[in-house]
Amino acid sequence: MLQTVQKQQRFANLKEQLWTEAESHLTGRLDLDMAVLQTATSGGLALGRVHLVSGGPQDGAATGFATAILRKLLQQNPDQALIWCLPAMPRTGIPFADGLAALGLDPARIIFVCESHPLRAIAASEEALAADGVAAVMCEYGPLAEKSDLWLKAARRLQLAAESGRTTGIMLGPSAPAAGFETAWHISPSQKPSATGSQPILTQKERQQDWQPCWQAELKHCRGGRPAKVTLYWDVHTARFRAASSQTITPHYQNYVYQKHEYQASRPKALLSHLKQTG
Amino acid sequence: MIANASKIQHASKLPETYGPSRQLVAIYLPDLPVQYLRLAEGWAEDMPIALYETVKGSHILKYMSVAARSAGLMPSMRLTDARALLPSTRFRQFDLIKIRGWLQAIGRWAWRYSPVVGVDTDSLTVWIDMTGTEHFYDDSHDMLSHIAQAFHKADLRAYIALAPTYGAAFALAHFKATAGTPVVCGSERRAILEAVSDLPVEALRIAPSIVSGLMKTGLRTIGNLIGISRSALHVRFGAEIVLRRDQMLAEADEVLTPLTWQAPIMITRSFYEPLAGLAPMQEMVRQLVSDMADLLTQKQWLTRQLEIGWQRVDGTIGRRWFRLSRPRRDRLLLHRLTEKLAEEIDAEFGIEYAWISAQKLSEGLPETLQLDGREQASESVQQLIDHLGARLGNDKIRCLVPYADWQPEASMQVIAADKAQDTYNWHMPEPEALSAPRPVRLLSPAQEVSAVALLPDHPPAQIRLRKQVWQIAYASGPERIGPRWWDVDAGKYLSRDYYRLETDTGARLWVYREGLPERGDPMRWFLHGYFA
Repeated sequence: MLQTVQKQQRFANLKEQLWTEAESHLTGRLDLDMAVLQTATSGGLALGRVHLVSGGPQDGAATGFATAILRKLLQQNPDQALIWCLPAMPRTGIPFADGLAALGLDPARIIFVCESHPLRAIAASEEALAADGVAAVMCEYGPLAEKSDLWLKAARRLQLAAESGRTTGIMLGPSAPAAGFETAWHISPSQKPSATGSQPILTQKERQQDWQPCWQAELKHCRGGRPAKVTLYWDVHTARFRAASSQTITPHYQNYVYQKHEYQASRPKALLSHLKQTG
Repeated sequence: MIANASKIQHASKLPETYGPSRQLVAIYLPDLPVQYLRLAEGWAEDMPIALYETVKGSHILKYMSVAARSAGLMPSMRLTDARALLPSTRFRQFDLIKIRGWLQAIGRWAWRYSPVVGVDTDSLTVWIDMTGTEHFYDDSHDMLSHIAQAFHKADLRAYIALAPTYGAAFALAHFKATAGTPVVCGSERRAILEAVSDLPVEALRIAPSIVSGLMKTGLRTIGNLIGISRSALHVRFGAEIVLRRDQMLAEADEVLTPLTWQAPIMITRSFYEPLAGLAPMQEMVRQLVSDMADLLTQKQWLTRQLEIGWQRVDGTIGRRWFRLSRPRRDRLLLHRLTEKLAEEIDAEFGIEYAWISAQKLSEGLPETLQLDGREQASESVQQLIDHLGARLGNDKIRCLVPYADWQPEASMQVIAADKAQDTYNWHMPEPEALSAPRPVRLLSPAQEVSAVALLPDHPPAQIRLRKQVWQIAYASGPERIGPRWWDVDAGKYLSRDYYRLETDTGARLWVYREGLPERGDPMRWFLHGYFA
């Protein structure tokens, strides 16, 4: 009898060891590739927590940044699924599969939960965060953040669920209070450095090929870190963030050159210098 | 080789009747694909319809309606030729899985005649093994006319034949029977020979290449083949034709795969006293579900749908279905799916009878857990899908499926996750990929904007959506996406010129202009998406 109890205990211990071994990488941090962001977040984006990514209603920058993070998370757990909760008819547009693929995220790996009722959507994401086998959960909260009491409660509940399931969550939507979340980001679209004039102006052809995403990411709040503001590129082929000041350009769509109407609106200066350069 | 041939020669000298005589009915349904499509789409009776399949990259007609055939459309005609010949025809892609599903549905219906029923999808044939069931009818003619009547009522042309072998029944159904008048063939070898001897050699179910070889040598009917020795046939035309001839004449056995069916299993409980109140309801559901889990484990079955029903004292019935994304029998999962049910049951004056039934069953051996006592990761995601589906509704859990279409809004389909068959392949970007950039968010439907452009075919310099005004700093395009020319009402859609615009703040928009300026179409601008 005593022997059986000892045996059981021994097995329980061994199981525990296996668990901790298997999930040690989940309690770590996600490398954000840029020194500025790594120091600001004290070592990377915390896994197993909920992060807030906000952006304007009429651009795709926040969605793009969140998609980039999702891709990085999926790379860490390649055999797991992604859950994306969103309203049935979001006003900011539906996620477009070819666009997600263009950012390097395989659309077939995402399971969409289309729920228009915001509280039910939050409950579904809580469920997904607590479940096993999920690489990350993305939730579009819409106007829910305007109700401060509900928002605080939701933030707390999601954070707890993420900790129990050891899954990373991303809340995507308009600007919202950051209290309760691990980090809060505000992503806005950014013009390429070439357009501001501080860098050498690109040739027109380079300018048109260089259609890779460029965002201004503002880290507004980070638990155990400090705020930061950085302009960054998302490099689709290496799945890494890159500082926008870097001068090397890897054209996003190398062979995709339009035959007709190569056009640059209201930029005669750039055009002139381009002509001078090319003779 | 010679010894082998002489053995086969000897086999043909067997007695006239070979073993216990079988009775096989073949039902050939040439109109089935077209007729079902017509019913599903609600097209008129005399509408020409044709189904095509893709063979080595070209579209070849496979099945067509009577109207289309009388207008000159033929099987194995090219789709382009057929379009030129009869433009009013509705063309659809041939869908093997759907047609097999329809045939199997007819096969399930045919279980009323015999428990051994099967389908042959390639030749649109349903077969019924009637051996030992003739005594339910006066004679075989009576039974066959009964079947023919049923197809006549369903408005489906059926060619029916009864023969002692499947080969003979197939040949007679396809090449001798006329719609509505079944053919019956006697059970002696002589009778089979008589019935099939004047049929063409295609009736032997052999490859077209062999048929054309036979034609060249002047062997046009099965009667021509009867006198030829097996070895000679084998040497000239291969083993298949020998086998098929023997199977037709009951000299070789043919293994046919029948349809199988798993009847739903059900557990019922009746109560001495009518049950009412939350706690008894919870206990009732809990017991039903654990009994079902026990039964499924014992029988090694998995289920995809549970039904729980209850009958109140006044005889009214309530029921509730739980669907699963994949076959399961986990006790914990089933309890979790049904845990909220007790609150939803309106017992009124009490429940006197309740049942649980597991439907859509399949066999499943017990699974091995991982060493650390947990299931595979994909298993737990399936559990999550089931649970979310039970809470929010199965149609709300969706996934994206690619669809070959140039129109951006049609290039992906959103389907329920439990209907998704497989993982789909998307074209992921490669460094040298030749693909146009696409936005990460798509506005559906596209929003009409007012645009200011230098010339009609220039990209806009400023666009306005309601109160939002964007000044455009950079533009690139156009990328022209035309309407589908094969659409019946293609004239309704205009061709679109897509531009990628970057505003002065850096936001990237996907905007298109509808209509061609050189053609004088009315021109409108639409915002269709946001780039990342």
